[in-house]
Amino acid sequence: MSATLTFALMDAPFEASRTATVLRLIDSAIDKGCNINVFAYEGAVYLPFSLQAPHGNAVHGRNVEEEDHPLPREWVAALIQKARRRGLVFDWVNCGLCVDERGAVESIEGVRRGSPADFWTMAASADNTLVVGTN
Amino acid sequence: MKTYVIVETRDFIETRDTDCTVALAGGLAKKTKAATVFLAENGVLAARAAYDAPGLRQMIKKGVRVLADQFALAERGIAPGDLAKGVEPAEISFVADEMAAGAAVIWR
Repeated sequence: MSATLTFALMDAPFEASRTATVLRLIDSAIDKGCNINVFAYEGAVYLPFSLQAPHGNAVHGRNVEEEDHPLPREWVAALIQKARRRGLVFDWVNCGLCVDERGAVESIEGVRRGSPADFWTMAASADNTLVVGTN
Repeated sequence: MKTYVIVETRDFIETRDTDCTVALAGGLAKKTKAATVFLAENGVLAARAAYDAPGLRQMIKKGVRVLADQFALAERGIAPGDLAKGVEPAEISFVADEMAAGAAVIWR
């Protein structure tokens, strides 16, 4: 399989199960040898925000290491690295206007700034496109 | 022939908009014989035999293939033996395969 799949994401991190579900889907597509395009729109531009930080959980008496709080930026980085190891294209574009609105300028390596025009280009060049909107 | 996959992530009782999924999937199955609903997240709650889900039964009766995300089932403590007749457990890789094969995938 060498299909190119494009995904549009809109949900901000730490809010909805959709983030984990769609990243599982992308992970599966990488396993199958697909090239991946992601256009992050609205709150989704915070998914690869590099300043996300883990925290402990005082209620449960766990420190930072014990809590091992999951960070979406690490999930995104893992997907980018996995695709690279397999020699696949993984292009993550953050909507620039959405970034500016939210001050989400700091992103992990491998994420670039773009515009909705990039989504059009990604969708036009892909074998299939899935838009995962907020509910 | 075009195939269709609807990923339904919402609980059928909590969200009445799932009626639209039932109607859309049923219509697609009637016209194409190639419609699948992939239940994910809280959507899998309707996959249980003990759950009163007329919409689910209606889809199956109309020929819609209904799959339930094994990850979401496990998260919610739903065992394969708990599933309603006609619902198959499946990996999310099913959706990746369908996308790569050109299916129209709708996320709800």
